[in-house]
Amino acid sequence: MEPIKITLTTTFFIIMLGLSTQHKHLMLALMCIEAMMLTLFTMLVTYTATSLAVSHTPMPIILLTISVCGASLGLSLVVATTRTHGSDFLKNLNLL
Amino acid sequence: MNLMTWLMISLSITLSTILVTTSTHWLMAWACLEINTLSMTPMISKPHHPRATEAATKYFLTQTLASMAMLLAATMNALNTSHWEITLMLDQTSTTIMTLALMMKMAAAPFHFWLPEVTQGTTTLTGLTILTWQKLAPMSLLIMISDKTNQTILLTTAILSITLGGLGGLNQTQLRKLLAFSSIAHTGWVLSTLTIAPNISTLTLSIYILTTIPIFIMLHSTSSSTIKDLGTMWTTTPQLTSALTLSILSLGGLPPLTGFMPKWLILNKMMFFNLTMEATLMAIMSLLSLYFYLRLTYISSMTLTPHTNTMTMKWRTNPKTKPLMASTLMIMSMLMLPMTPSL
Repeated sequence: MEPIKITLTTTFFIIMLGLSTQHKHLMLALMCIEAMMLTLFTMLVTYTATSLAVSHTPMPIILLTISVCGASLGLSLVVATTRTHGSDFLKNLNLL
Repeated sequence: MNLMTWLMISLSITLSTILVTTSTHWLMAWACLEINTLSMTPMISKPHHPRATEAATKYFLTQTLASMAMLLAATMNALNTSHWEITLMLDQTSTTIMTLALMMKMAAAPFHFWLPEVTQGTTTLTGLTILTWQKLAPMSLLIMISDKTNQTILLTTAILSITLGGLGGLNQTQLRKLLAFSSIAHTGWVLSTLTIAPNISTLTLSIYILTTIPIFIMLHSTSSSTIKDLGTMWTTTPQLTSALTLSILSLGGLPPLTGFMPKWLILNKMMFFNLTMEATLMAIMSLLSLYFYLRLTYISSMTLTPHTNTMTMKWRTNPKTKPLMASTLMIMSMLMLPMTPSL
């Protein structure tokens, strides 16, 4: 249990570092966000597998549903940015 | 935007914030915050302008990052203590991560950079929603975990917020950015008494909201977006110039007006808990904000700015809104100081 916890937390923080240091594509940022969501999903699955309470079982599904909604909003933002700025480069977002 | 879409989106913004304040389970609170972000992003990108799209992208990225850090903290807490209740954050590390994530959601100092740009990119009234209504959900979660949070982090963030909010607004001519920086400074005041007196923090936030709403409604009804526009406000509504002056001074916290009440109570409480150094720093740093508030009042009511003949013809166009709610709130934001003993 302890090694899994440490590995997943380290993975999460490495992906968070990756999200904050990449400055090229909005698409890559969204993929980092999805990777973070998957890490959290794995953590929740580990938690519900070890927990004895039945009421904890649907929690990973709830997380997955809402993260999919977030991903679709992110993709629609990529479309909107491409239509208004011409590309999905993050360096084009400098109007404000 | 379609009327039905607008109704659905504003309903889900309202309902998700209310559900966050009433939920006890971390996953429920996280889901409601995520729904709140998901419905706020189309509201921001409503004007179909490149600026609005950019603001929506920045808002989405920061809020998603913050809410994921929040869920990580909750999951770590559950893995270590197997508790999901909001009030039972027993793990020290996850409480720290949770506090920082919620601070990012309500734009306190080290994580404040998104707020001025997002507020500048949208319409005035959406900006008002971001500065006021969107602070309620993270604030209620912070109050629920306020007895477990680290006071050093909160005080450092408070002093940094007040300083950076004041410094950022000094060289700013765009009114929405200016009010966003003022919001960052006020967030600092709200956070400063979170552990020692959460009721004073709640009072500070509500008085800030009460003072900001009429100012934004006035800016909306006169279509002002820069300081320059305040200079010709007398041509349309001469009485609003003095009202705007008094409201802005109340936002700055000068004694006969309502805005003085929270600062007075906060400084009093901090002195009571022997936090003299921090209280002095906060009081001195809020002078920076007071400087740009005074510049706004100077332009709007104490001087006659240079203008051309055509600019004075603005009074011929009909006003956008009837400022009934603004006048009620304005009176409350000026004259509520004598009510302090009853609170």
